[in-house]
Amino acid sequence: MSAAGEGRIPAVLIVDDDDDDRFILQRLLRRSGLVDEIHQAVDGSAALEQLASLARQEVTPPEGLPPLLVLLDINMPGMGGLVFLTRFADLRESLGLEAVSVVMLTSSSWPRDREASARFDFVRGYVHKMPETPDELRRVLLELL
Amino acid sequence: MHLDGPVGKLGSVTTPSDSPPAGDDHQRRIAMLDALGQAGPELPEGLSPDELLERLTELGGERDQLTDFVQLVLDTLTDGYWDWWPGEEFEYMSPRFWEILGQDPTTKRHHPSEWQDLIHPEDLQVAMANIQRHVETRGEHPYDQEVRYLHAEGHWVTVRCRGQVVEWEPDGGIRRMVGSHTDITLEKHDQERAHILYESGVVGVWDWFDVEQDEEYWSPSFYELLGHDPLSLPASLASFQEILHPDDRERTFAMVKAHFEERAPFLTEYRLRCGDGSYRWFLGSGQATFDAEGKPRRMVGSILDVHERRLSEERLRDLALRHRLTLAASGVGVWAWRHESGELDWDEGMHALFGISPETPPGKLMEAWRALVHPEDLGRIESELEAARAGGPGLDTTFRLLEPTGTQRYIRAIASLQGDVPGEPPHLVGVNWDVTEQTLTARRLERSNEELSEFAYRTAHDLRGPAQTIRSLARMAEEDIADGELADAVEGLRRIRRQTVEMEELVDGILELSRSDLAEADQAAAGVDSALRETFESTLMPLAGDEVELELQLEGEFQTPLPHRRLQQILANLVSNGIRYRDPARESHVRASIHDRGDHLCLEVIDNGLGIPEEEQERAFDVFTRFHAGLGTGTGLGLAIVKRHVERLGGSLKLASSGEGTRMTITVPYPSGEGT
Repeated sequence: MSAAGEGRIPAVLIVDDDDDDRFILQRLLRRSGLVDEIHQAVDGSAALEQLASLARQEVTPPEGLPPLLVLLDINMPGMGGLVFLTRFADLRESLGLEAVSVVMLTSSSWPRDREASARFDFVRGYVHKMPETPDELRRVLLELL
Repeated sequence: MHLDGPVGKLGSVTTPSDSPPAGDDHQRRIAMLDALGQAGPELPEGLSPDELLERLTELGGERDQLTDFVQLVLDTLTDGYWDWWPGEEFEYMSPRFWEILGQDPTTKRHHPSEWQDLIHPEDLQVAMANIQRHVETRGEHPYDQEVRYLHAEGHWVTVRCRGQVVEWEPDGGIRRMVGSHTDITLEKHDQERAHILYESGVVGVWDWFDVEQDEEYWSPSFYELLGHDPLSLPASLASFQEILHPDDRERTFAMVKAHFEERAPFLTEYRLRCGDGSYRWFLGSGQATFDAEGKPRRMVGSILDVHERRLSEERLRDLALRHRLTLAASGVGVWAWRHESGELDWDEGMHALFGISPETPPGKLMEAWRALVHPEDLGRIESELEAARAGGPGLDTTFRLLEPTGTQRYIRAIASLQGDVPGEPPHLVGVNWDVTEQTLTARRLERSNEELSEFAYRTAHDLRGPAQTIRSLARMAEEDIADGELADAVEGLRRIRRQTVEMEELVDGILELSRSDLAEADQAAAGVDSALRETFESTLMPLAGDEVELELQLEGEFQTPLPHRRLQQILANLVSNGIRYRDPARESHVRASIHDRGDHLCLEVIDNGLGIPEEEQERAFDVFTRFHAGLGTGTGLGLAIVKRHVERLGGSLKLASSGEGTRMTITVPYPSGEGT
């Protein structure tokens, strides 16, 4: 589960409504060698449900990495990314998920979206251009974390 | 010589009716009084009291009685009387003379030095010179002049002093000279006043001595005001008629006639022709005197140049009229807030603007106005008004009116302090006008700008997303082919094709949305029912396939011309939403009904699909809004397009939705008078 130096993130949750985007991201993550487990959710409320169950797993991440990373889209039918952030901020403590980090991964470059997400301290970064290769994805994520 | 006569005797003389004397006595007294009457109010020149006494004695009076009587008459005359005996250094001056000078007669000696001390030095010289000439001509040159005496109160009084030598010395000198003093101070003042008036150059005075005669007096100022010359224009009624403006003649003379006959006041304005040929406006007034029979005898009057005032008034009237017309046309109301009274002064425009009756007393206007102002704006506008009234910067603000019907209107107000009357605080004067339309247009524009910018952003985002996805998928397919993983490559290409289809749908939707804002070539025509049936059968039925049961119900004549394309798109979007968001857990159906209701069209689509969550229904008609996670299809534009079309048709739209399904009801009114 762990490799000193070449640390791996125990679990990543991809939250995106588009099936193809999830497919692409999953393939890049898998090939990056950065993560152990990959979970998926189609909107914010599905993501919250999954987080509640993931919270029960005991994991010890390598130093400097979160036990769980959420890669979050913004524009989704149902519960969107920004609403998810607000709900998650309220639930983090009760779910024991204080160590969870979020990276925004969205095609939106609207300043309002960027500012709104930056208000949450657990949001570690904002990526609005999908990395093209597994190495690029790995580098971008490690930089932010 | 001075004798105090009993007043009672004079009284019995002047009121003979008290106890009429009988017989000769009676006749004698009448003759005596006649003699006195001939003497007139003033002592006749050359008739001394002694001579008068002589003549009265001749008429049969008793000398003792007559002495008292004559003395009394002389002493009580309005004129003073003097009797000078130069050889004896004696000069009698009657008590009346001293009274004219405000002096007490009992303190004065009968000596010439008494009056010589009080006469104006210049006039003493004149008097002395006149006596000299009177003596030299042995009485031919009259001794008669106006002289000034110092009054006891310190001012000068003007006295006419006349006299005559009545007894000569053998060497031609004066033995005795008598004369009178007449107080002419008041007449003198009158003359001076008249002189100032006549020469003033401000008021012209005319005097029509005898209304039977065509001869008048016109004062120098009268001529000066008109710029005429007395030589070329003699003062006469004929001259006046000649220079009076023809249009004013009838009116003016009618007023003179009314003044003569009914004593109506003569005060009017008329035009007179001046020396340079131009006409000027004058204020004319006049007053006649009437004889015992009530006939007019004489008329005196004045003219005052009011030409400039009259022109100013005309200009002001003209200006005010133009102003009022401008204001009426612009819908602007003008008001003033009087400082002293605290009352409002409104013009017609203000009353019209606020719908407050012009009959409302000024004291009640503020209250009526307050009742109209939107409660949320009242506090602010009142403090702004107070600040402007207290001398702050001018007011420029907008406030709302809340009418009893609930409609809001926007009023712009500009005001500033006005008035430069010294010692009077300036008052606030302002204008108001209705800016509802501009304000609402500006707000709509602002909102539509915001919508446009959000729309552009969302459109870009929704196009950029699939583009990025396609690029990533294409790269992966390349890798898969290079790795010989052909099955994975084929899967990637399938995903690329699906993304491309979605992108096309999105572009079509955006085009459709932008077209929905344009009138386009969508001509209204009758028979919309067959157009809708065509859409239903050729577009929607294939979309539904076997999975959703579709039903279309048409009812009515459908003869009213309606824009087919808009209604087709409404139907297509609503029914395809019902198909797309069906609930897989139950057998799905979508039922559309279209009714021609005579004056409106009713289009209703009911499905038993997933429904729109209640908390999201408010946003249901926004662009790019989708509600169902995991259902990848749908552009989020459908209901936004429907809403635009309904708005353009002037119709209304109702949404009812729950987990059991959705009901959309659309009502489109027919153009008035064109119902089937």
